[in-house]
Amino acid sequence: MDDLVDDLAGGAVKRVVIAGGGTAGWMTAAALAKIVSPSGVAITLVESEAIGTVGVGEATIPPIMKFNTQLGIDEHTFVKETQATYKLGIEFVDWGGLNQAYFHPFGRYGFDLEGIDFHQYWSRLKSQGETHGLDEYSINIRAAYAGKFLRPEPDHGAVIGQLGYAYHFDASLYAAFLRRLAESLGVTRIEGRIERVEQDGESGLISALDLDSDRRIEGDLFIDCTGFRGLLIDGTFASKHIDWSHWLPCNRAVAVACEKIADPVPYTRSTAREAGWQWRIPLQHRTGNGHVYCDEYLTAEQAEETLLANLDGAPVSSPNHLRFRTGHREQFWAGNCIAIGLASGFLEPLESTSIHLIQMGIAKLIALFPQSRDAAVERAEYNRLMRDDFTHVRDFLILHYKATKRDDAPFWDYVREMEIPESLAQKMALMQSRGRFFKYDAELFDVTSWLAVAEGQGWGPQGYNPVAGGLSDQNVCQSLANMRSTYAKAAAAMPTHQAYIERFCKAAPTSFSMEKS
Amino acid sequence: MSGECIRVVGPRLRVGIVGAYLAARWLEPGRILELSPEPEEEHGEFLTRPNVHRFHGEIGLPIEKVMERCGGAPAFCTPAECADGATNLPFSAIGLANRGVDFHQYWLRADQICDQPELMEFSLSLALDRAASPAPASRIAQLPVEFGVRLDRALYGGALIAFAEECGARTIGDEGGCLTIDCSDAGGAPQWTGDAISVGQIPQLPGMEWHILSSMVQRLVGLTAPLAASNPERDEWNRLAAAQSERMGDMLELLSIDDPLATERLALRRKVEVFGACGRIPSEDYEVFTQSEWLAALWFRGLRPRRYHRMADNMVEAELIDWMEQLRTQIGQITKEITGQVQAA
Repeated sequence: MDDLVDDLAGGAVKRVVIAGGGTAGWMTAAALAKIVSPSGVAITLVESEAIGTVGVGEATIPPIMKFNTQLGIDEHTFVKETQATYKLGIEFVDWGGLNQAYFHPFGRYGFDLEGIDFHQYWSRLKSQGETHGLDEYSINIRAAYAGKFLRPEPDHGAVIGQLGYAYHFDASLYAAFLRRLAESLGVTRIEGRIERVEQDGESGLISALDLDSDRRIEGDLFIDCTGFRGLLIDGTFASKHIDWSHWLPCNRAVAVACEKIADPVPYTRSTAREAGWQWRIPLQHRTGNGHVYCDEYLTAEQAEETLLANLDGAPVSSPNHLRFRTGHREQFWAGNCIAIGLASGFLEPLESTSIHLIQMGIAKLIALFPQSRDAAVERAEYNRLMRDDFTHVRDFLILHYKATKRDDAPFWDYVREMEIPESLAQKMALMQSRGRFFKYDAELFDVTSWLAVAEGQGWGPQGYNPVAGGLSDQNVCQSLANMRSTYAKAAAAMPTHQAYIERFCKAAPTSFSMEKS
Repeated sequence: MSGECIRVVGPRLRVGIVGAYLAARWLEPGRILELSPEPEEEHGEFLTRPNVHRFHGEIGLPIEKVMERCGGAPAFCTPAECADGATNLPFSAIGLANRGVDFHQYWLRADQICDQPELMEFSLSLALDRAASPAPASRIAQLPVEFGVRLDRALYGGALIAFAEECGARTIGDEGGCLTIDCSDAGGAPQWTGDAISVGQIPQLPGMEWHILSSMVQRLVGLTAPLAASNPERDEWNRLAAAQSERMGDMLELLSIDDPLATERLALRRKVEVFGACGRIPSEDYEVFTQSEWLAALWFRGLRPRRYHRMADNMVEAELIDWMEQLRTQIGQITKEITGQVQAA
């Protein structure tokens, strides 16, 4: 009945128009085509080949597997077609202090004993002078540093079962891969440049996009995937930007791809620099690199020079300079327009969350998919949930800066001394006190992640929860020794990352001249 | 405040819950746990929620053993008195989610196609509750339902205090400088200030007494042993306790307010509005009640989604109607089988 009312009023959502291709646009198109289209919703995507894509976010985190699975994507096919490699976590170099490194693994540390968190026992032994680091209790870290990988299967047992992973891939190839999938599911792609956004005079809602060559694309719901420009969400609805640059001051990046000089390692590396940090993302055919920095402390020329001086191989593209503002739109969904991807906000890719935030936007859109064009309740709920997602990720990113002990450059002095959000201050205090961690329901990063960064940067637990005092010293020592041995053996028995790729998902050779930087 | 002494005071059962957990999980040589329970506890029904299994697992006192001693029975829902009468809020999902879509979305669509039995008829929890079969917990544990346990207050309290004493707790004495946990109804929100923890006002809704006390002591041990707690732990305890109170307050208001749409509680209003718009029930941090309890409460208060989710269209009509019938049949068969087994035994 409501459907009928909506139809009569001309407000029912039957046509979704996505403005912009790229990773966000095609992820959205493929997901909506797969899940929403069967109920009679037509999906159209408008993009212009003349407008480049930013192409950040080549590194991902484990939840992307769920997204791909929902779309029915075969993992090995996807890895082949996107020149992907596997990712077991991120190595952070020089973050806590110069000449220090730690690893943020995607799988947990150790096994709990008697229902008590593993890390409480580890902290107990540490307080008694035990020197084995957390790294020795992680199958992810053991495997990563040994250059090993094995996809966990149900019959692999508990140790390999702890292996969490994601991917490094070429974002432009991923977009192309999803485009093929989306088009096969009925998405209509229109090549064209958006020249004007038409609004209904009465409601203010977007009614159509006017393209070059006098074409007009009508729709009921519009998805803004136009990148930083936010052509619809900003241009039409002027959704205010919430600025977090006082907490995350980096505002520029320069990216370049370089030749691969060795087999790809199964992890991302993030190296802290004078006024920011540098990423290294190994793909099958090349290595992606970038330098994220704050232009108050470093010029673009200096940033590029630092980047080029720290590549594994010769550059294969021209350095691409980007500007960004850290923060998000106050309204991710305004009127009948939803911003997804860079149009919705930006958090630096320090923990590879860019694609994840796209995924979260899509998942929430599907869960709250509106019946009619003006869906105030769904809109408010979507905005609340996305704000929460951004805020939780923000706090975790700030931790990396705040928890530094570096005092060798003005940038690090600023971030070390800056005021931080209360929500983060509380978490840091609890973690440092006795390793306690309470996760919000919608929070992405769990205790493993917080512990890895806090401990890795010298802000780890100063004590342990004495409920971990119940077992005898001998029992705990023996249990942890067994774990170390088990992890070491399991990692040693795994195939190399390269061997795994060669066997199951080797990509076809590609020409560097075809790539975007 | 001493870092090594806790005193628990208040009604016998409440002291038993808190004391048993502390005795099993916190007490060790050099620490003192002093229990000062009121001498008598009246007999009467006491409802524990499904987390009772974890609680008893953590203290090493299997709930099955307690049920044998105290005559407990599985409980599948929260009985609630509402503005519109009495109802039951099932602990486990109503129907079955399919392809990531909640069952009630399918039910809404199916009901548009042809009249369906009431949504709550698709709850296995409620069917088992109606059957009132005294099946053993070991058999119930094999079913796809969460369950708590109904116990006699006096017997359960006595068993827990005896257990705490076996673990080394003392029930006499007046050790100075202890952290005191007052389990009496003190009014207001749960609060930890200085050397005193008050559980605050415990709502009348069955199961809440259990939930507040068990979660309070689990949180305390998880956060702050030894008790030389610094401010971050105390602040966190208070924050989590306050969040829990808010979530309970939302449910109590939903059940009691004349017009749920008129609520001024923001999180509840969000639930009411979003549910009405699209059938989704927004989840807040640190929810106490399950989604099925919220769904049942919203439904009982007469709230209905204006539409079902489009993804519920992913099944063809005939398949959908057939599936609904199959579900009802399965619920009937399971309930009959459980009841039959008990009668045969």
